[in-house]
Amino acid sequence: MGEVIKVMGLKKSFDNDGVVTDVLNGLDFSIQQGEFVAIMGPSGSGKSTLMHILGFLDKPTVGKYFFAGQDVSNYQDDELAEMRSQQVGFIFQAFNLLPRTTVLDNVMLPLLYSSLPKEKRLAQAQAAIESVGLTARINNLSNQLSGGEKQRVAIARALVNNPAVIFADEPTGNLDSRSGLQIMRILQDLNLHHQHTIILVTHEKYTAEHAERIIHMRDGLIESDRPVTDRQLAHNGQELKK
Amino acid sequence: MKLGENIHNVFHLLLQNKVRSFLTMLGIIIGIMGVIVIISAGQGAQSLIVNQLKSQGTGLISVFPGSGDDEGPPVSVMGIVITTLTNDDVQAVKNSGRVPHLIAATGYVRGTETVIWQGRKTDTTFIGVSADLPEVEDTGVETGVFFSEEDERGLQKVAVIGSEVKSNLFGDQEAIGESLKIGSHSFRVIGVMRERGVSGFTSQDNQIYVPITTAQKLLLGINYVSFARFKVESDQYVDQVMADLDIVLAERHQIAPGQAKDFDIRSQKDALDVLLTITDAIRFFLAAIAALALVVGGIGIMNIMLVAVEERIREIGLRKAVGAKNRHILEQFLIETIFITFVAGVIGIILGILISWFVAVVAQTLGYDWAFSLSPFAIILSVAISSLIGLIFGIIPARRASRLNPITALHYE
Repeated sequence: MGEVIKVMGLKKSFDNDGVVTDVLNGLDFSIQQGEFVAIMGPSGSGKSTLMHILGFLDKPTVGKYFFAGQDVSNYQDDELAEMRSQQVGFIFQAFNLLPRTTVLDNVMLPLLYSSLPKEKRLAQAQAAIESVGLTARINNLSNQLSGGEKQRVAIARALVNNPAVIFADEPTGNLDSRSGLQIMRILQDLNLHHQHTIILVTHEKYTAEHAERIIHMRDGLIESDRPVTDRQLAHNGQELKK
Repeated sequence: MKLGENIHNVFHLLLQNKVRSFLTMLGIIIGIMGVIVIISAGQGAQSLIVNQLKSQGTGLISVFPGSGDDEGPPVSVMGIVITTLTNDDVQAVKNSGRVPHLIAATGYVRGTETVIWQGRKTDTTFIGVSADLPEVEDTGVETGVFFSEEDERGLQKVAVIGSEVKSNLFGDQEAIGESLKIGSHSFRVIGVMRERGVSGFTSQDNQIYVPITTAQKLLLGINYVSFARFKVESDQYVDQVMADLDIVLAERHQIAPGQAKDFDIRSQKDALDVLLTITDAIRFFLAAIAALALVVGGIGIMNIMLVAVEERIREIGLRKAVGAKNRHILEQFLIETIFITFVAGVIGIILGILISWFVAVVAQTLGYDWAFSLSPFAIILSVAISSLIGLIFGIIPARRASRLNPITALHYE
């Protein structure tokens, strides 16, 4: 297992009409392939900005970002889009499904921007939907689903391009605790049994403890970075060791 | 992303929002429809006027008083009264023997009067012409006779009435031999004309023909004619007759060669050309106005697409987050706009054809010589314009969409 993410001296500041706000003030860390890392911190700590940069939605102001050994610090818009298309998947708090669109079409969306032939895309989408247990609802419209189901569709969408890293931004934030637990179970399952690298952004300690390592942030700096000693396991309530 | 998928998506989107899609397209539909109907109906109306002119027979030459230029219509048509052309000119030319292949000639004067028969009144046009009129205009009487040259010379108060005048005044009763009053003068009806239909915008059947001399002296108190027509034996002699007419008339009016003439000789072909020039100009002017509606429709589409971009900011953010490049988003919105205008264009073309056809059928039912014609030019033009509108008015919203920052877009509320 190699290093999938490595940042060195990562800084990010925003310039709003001449008012410069420093959000990230120099971060150094790396994430191994197959790791399940939670990034925690109060709002304004910079955890979302960090996720955006790691997920190729934004560029660092200063510092280096290596993805799978490749320096991506200075990638331009189209290269970043290419990375998003090939290397990462996103799960958002608000699900962000296309309304009035079927589960299948929602899951296939990322593949529209790939060069895969249609049959291949369909097969991959079906497999992703099956892995989140929604095959029965494959032709339902997204607005006919419950919140938990919507987030499962979003997970399938994040998985469909077989990404190196899955980013989950407060994935349980809009869900009741039971649905939230189910989502965490799927994420843990993907990590434990399918070796997906998962980066979870949350401000809930309980949710974060489903990961194996927690990076605490405060004021744009890493406050602490340590493994989870008493890991929460959502899988059928049984204790599972990696 | 492939074009086919894009179009599939757009189609899906249009169906999801049927009312709005329709309203978006309405401006373009109306614009395209307008262009097609106006061009087609314009052609119909043009054919009506042109056919009318042709139906008056071939080999016709008209002489108008006043000098005219070759391009425009004769000066006297503009409502200016010019008194230099007289019935004597017409008769002298005809009887001079110096214009071979000339077979008939008549001057024209006209006026409007109330016509009374046994207390029944109708307002109608009386036309003073020569006995040659039936030959000049390829027409004739239904019953009775047309007046003769003797009637003309003798200033006889005889009248040949149009079929509509006949039915208005006399109904089913016999008109021949009856005496009717035109203004304050009594005329004896000696003939009823064949039905001739509508010319331009007046009925040729609601007219009364009287000898030109009688009309000039008795009814109008003038001694000039509005214009004259000369019938040529056959088309091939038209140019020769025109040249001869020119010489004879110039001589009579004592106009030296090179001096400005006080008459204007035109063949029917000249008249057709002038008419076509005028009607073409009107047609394209109207089509240009209809094309304006297209531009307005295009602005409507742009407006809706800007709203659509606003509404779908989160969708755009999501698409970018899952790997869409700026150009994918640009393509998506551009194709959407072009597809909408294209569909609207197709609907507009179909409606335009249907309406044009309907107009033609109604006009034909009303007895007009109206040809239903579709101009491929109009159809191609409107399809081109509508696609161009889609492209032009789609660019601004599509660019706006493609340049959105994915993070801002994702979290847009």
